[in-house]
Amino acid sequence: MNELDERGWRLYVLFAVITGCVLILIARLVYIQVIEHGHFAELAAAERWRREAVPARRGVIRDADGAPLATTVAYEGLYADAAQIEDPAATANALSPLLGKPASSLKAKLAQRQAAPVLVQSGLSATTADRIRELNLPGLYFQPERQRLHPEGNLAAQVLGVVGVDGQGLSGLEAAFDADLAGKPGWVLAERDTGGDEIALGDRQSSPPVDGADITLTLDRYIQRTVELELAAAVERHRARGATAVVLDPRTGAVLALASYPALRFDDPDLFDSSRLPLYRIPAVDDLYEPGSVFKIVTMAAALDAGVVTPETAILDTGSFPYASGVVRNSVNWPPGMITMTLGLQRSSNVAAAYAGTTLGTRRFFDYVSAFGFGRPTGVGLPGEAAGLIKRPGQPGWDDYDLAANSFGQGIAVTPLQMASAVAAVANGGTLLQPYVVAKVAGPSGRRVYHPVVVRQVVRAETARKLTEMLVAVVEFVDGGKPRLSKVPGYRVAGKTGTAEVPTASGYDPSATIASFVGYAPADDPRFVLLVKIDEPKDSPWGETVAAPVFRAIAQQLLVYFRVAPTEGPGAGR
Amino acid sequence: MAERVGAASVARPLLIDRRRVEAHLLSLPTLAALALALTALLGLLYLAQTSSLAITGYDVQELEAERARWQLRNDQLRLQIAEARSLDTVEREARLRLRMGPPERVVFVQQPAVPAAKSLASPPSGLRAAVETIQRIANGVLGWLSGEF
Repeated sequence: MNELDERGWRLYVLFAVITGCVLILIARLVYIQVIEHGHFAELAAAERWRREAVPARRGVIRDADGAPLATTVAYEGLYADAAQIEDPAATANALSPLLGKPASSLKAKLAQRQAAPVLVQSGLSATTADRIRELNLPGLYFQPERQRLHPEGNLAAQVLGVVGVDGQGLSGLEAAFDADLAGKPGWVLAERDTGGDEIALGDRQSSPPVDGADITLTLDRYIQRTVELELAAAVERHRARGATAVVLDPRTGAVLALASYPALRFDDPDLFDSSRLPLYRIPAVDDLYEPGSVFKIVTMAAALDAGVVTPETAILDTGSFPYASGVVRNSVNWPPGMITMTLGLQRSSNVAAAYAGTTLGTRRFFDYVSAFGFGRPTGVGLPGEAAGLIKRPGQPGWDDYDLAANSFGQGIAVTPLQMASAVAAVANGGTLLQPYVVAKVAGPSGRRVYHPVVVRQVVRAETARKLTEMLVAVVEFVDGGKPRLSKVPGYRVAGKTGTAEVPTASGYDPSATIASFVGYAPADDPRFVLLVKIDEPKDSPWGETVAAPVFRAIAQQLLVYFRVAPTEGPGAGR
Repeated sequence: MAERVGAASVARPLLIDRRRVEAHLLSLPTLAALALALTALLGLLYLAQTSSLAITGYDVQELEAERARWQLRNDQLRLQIAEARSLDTVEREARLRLRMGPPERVVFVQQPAVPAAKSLASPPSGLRAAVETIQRIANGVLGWLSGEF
């Protein structure tokens, strides 16, 4: 082999190597440009295109007069990108007076080297944010953040409910009407520059957000506040476990106030802690209790309407009433003697109530109980509403004695709203209306207006009138020279106390009661029905001494608020 | 002969025109330079327009951001108004600043009826019926337009 042949061989090798490399490059190019074209095109588009959600404004919840109770306001969050901050100390010194934070703590935040920007301060007002912008400090960014705020503070917190950090309603009306309140978020798909800002002349597609609907409630903030303050004071005064109150407009069924204590607080730093979950419930519609003697209103209404008794029907009350397998006993030992049904209500005689209920009979009694709305949710529109517990003949555990016990409110479980709604039917001439808490939902897609709904005529108007007179007599009853604590001077008030025992797994708790009062005023043209329920008061077990004064305190304020002039006594007729 | 004279008489003005034209014609390099300049000018115009559009676009973006900031400020002010009107604030102001307290006694004053003034103020019955009819129709139309149900 000569020198030329040897060089030629090497050239061939070199040519083959170069050709091989070129082929590999071509193959790689074909792979990238042809086979994986879609993937790399997506990567390129993702680099250039960005889709951003545009949140919808969450609707405002207002009280009956239009005062905002829950509203969403955007603030600005200040973020720092430490990599772009040349002098953290100088930046911290500049921010310190505007944020009201020590420069040392700000400097520590600004010096944090993280992949993502660090939140320096959230909830900045527009004024503060503008002042910071004017400083033109590098590495600082603003991000709008929405907060659900409550101008009336913690008013009606359980009814309004809580909104989670993701903007979704978790409880109360925020959850029940989340679909209306939330609206529909929009989006923007646009070409972005390297800084992430939208290119002014770039392609752009967008869909605008649809704002959430505003909700107007039937709740009146003045009444709600009055009730909340009185409940809190009563719980404190009687060292009670809790308290609940319901105020209804008997002419429409509108819920004017729905309060509990202890209650949810929006300013609670542990609002989203699992220990606070029980407070998310609305006791007035979610919790069941044995109503006790206030249920005698239902028994008496049924017996009067069926014609088995009249207000003047007299019986011998010996303090006990044997029936079926049990004996009904009065809570208070009145001297034995003849009493009318009216006096029976005035004395809260269990014997009189058991007589009326058992005379009525099982079938008719439970027909009336159902007609008054017990045993099923009222449909008020709040989440988690309980149906109540009514044991009927033939059901497991039924005993004939249950009829007598149910007649004075024992062995039956109702919600405070059901009880108030039933009494509202009596106040409304015997017509049961469906309670409702939302009056109007108005949004971009139209509006819904909720009107009073008549459920049924439970008892005749004449029966309701007679019963009202009996309930006025209860409040006007003078016991041992002392007027009843529910008496509101100058006004005819109808009402009834209740002192119920608290059932446990092993019978009734001998040391605990539920003291309650339900009534309406003025008796002849009721503007409101008010139920007050105090759970397990420590100083006195009785509805008369614990709940009735709370009723009176609230009723006095409501009558002035409704501008109802007194009809009796020195203030009348001026 | 006549044809030649005729041909000469026709050809002369053509020779004059060509000279005149050539005298006025621009040379190829000049034309190229002009075309280049024109292209550059058009390019400049395009660039100016594009940059002007871009600046306008960024101005629009800035104005939109400013509008959003004003909207935000507006929302915050609305909240402040609502908080200032809240019952807690009203009561605090009444108690602490105006030194007011709960009333010891509420007096209701009944306004005497003034039937004479009422009869003067109220329109004749026929006119009132017409006004009420128009109001009913207007309310119905407004309700229908607002989609109330």
